[in-house]
Amino acid sequence: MDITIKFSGTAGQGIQTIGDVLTNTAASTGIHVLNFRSYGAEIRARGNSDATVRLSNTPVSSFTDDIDVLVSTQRNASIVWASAVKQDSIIIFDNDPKQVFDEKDSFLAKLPPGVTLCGVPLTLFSQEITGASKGKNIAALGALIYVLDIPLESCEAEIARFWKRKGDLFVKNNCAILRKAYEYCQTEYLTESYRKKIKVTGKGFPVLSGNQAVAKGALAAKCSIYAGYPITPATPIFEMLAKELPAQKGKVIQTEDEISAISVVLGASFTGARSMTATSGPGFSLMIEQIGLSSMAEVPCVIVCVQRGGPSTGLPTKTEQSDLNIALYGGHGDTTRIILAPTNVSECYSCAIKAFDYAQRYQMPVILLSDFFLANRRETIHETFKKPKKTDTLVKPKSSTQKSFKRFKNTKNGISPMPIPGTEGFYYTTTGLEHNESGTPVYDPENHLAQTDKRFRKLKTALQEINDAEIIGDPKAKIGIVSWGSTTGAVLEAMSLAQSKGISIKVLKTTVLWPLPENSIKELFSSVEKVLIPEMNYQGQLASLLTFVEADKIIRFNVISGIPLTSIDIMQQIEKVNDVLRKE
Amino acid sequence: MFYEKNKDVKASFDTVVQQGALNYRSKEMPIWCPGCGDFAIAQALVEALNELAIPPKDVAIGSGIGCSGRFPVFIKCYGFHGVHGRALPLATGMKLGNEKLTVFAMGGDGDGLSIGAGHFPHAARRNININYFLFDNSIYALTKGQTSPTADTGTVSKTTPFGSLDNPLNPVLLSLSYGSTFVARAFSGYHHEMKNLMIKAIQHEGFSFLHILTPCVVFNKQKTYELYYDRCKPLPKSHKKSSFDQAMKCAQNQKTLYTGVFYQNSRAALQ
Ligand SMILES: Cc1ncc(C[n+]2csc(CCOP(=O)(O)OP(=O)(O)O)c2C)c(N)n1
Ligand code: SF4
Ligand SMILES: [Mg+2]
Repeated sequence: MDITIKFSGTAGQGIQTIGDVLTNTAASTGIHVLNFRSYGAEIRARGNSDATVRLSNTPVSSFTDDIDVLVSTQRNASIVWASAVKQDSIIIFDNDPKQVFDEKDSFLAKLPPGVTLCGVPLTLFSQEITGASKGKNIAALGALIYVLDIPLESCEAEIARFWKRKGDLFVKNNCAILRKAYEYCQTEYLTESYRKKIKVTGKGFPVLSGNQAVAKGALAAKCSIYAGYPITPATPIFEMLAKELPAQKGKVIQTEDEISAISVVLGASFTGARSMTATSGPGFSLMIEQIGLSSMAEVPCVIVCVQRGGPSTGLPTKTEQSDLNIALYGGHGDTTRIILAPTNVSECYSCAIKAFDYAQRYQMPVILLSDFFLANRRETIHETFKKPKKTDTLVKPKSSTQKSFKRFKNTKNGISPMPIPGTEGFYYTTTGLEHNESGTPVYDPENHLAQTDKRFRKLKTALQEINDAEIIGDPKAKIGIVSWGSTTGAVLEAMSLAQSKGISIKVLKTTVLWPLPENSIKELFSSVEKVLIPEMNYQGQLASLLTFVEADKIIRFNVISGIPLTSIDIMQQIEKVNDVLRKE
Repeated sequence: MFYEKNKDVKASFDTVVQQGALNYRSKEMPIWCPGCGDFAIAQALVEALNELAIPPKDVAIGSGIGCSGRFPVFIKCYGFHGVHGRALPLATGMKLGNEKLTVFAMGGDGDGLSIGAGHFPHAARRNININYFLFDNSIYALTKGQTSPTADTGTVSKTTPFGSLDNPLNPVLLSLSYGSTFVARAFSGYHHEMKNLMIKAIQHEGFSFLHILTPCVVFNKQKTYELYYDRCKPLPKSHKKSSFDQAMKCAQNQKTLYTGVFYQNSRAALQ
């Protein structure tokens, strides 16, 4: 079963809350869940609040455009989204005072065929229990879990967990409202047309957002310094670390701006501390000068950039993948950097750990590109998070090498041992000026070339050691897709959809965007006739980067709607490409 | 010849060598112009570190860009010569990363009061336990002589050929109002006093601000040694460094540029 539920109501009616409680309840019973706030086309009324939750018995990492169940805390005439529901869907709404619809009702006329109306006196039930109407969202949730056939006890347990801090009475009342609505449906709505049952397995999954997963990864990697400046949508990483870092002796500092944040990170990294900052476009732009410093001075640096709509202040609460270019090219001079882009919430965790490992091992900036969709959606995690093997990957000099020590020694793999302050005998000053092997600033051309070579050699070494590119799908497929970041969820689902329609696809998936996994990219290009590159940016930033392979095979699909791409969007493009191929 | 004529200079040089302060010098030769005030700052620091017996392994210096920013290159320490204006947050990161280190932030008047001015109040209000030495030559020296935020109104420089219109900033006054817990001024011509002020700054638990008047002999023909020898005087004996009001008053004196500790108090320090 695969059910998409849309929650809708006016702001302040607890719409997001019941979305969250359903998410946690479903996850606790072993259902795969994806939850995203205010997702969907902007047909929302002013002051309207909505959330989307997709439930499935197999893992999900994108949304479809369908609404199978609409849950509204409003009365029929004011139900936003009613016209957007799917055929044969169910609408739960506040039917208080109870009203019977006649055939010609204008509300009914808006609905697609086969829609089942499941009116429940939400306000009444809330008032009966608490004397106020505030609990009508809980009543709606009660009706919903009846429709979904999720055990009432699981939801009650979640309510007790969710509102533990509010005290027993609050929990008891909420459970009573929940039960009241549930039992009402049990007697009123008996037939199968009122049900969209989903299988529960009993074995629960944890639920995390991408931001939480990044923060968890940082904690697991033993990050000890977080420096940041608040910005949507990256702030939750800051807030979570502010709460949890002190417990493992880490420190958190709210700096005066992002320039300061990345300075603090560099200063702390210089002393060997694992440190990071997280930001979004505007803040990332401010950090660019010191990405160059990190590269030149060979000081580890972890930056999480949670992308939002740009440029400038742009669209702070909309999703976009338009910071690839700045991540790739931001800064003057020839700058080394590693770019990681997780494609789902689990990978936010593993990439965060890798970011610390790579920053220290390769002594350069590592940019983790997340995005609004990835950061804010909550998702069930079905693999166990691995703890990192090492929490210090800095190559330090052996004490026997003190006499011949050269901080920027031009080694075979480009990595030169980095002593940290507090170490006897290995004094040096690192600098953003070009310098020789000892670190002395010098400007002669031979040295500049040799040191630039050395710094870029680290990227070659890195590519051999960290490449995780894989080509998934039918080896014989004639259509390839290169996808990155959160869009990959929709792409992989579209691949299965295409398969079921008899179109073979293969997908190149990689979390390492730089150094570019050139071999896998060339392999994909040479084995297919067309390469579709879907991206949530206007210019086709990844596609442009890949024009060096076989530019005429590339088909760009660029969307800047601010709303995550769906498998349906991708499927439509696949069909188009397939048509072109058939005609050729 | 020089030493024969100036026996006292020779004697104090010998003492410095004997005491081991020069062990704090790195192998790099300073690139400063002969006569630059920054030499004296370097010398005072190595002596101060030596007197306090802080091993070079525990000394970390974050610096900005400018003639002054090159400072850590010439000191035996762990140095980070960063980008223009960011000495303070860089040094803040160093201290947070390893609180056992004795950490310095160093940079010029342009570095700290112009491009990096936004960091100064925050370092002060956090009371991060580092030492900020502001090398004030009232000129952009590395870029060869443009006006700076501490230059007097009317200063003629390469970017103000008809005289600057802007008012100068007063670093001591700023630092006091930002809430620094240690505020002092030194003049690189008064070597011993400068060294002693550095020692006090290092010993202070919290954010220590040392404003150092350091002539640029090449590009600033106004703020010369002569001028400072004439106008720099130790704070009056009656000055109480615990008095914020007295400190503010003394800091506002433009005719006499007081040297010494203007203000010191204690407050929980970040590290
Ligand atoms: C972002 C940036 N802008 C401009 C410069 C050029 N620049 C280098 S040093 C400097 C000013 C130096 O003046 P100051 O900080 O007073 O140091 P001084 O050389 O006088 O010791 C400038 C403008 C730079 N390096 N970086
Ligand atoms: S230019 Fe001025 S500040 Fe720079 S080294 Fe020469 S004298 Fe010193
Ligand atoms: Mg200057």
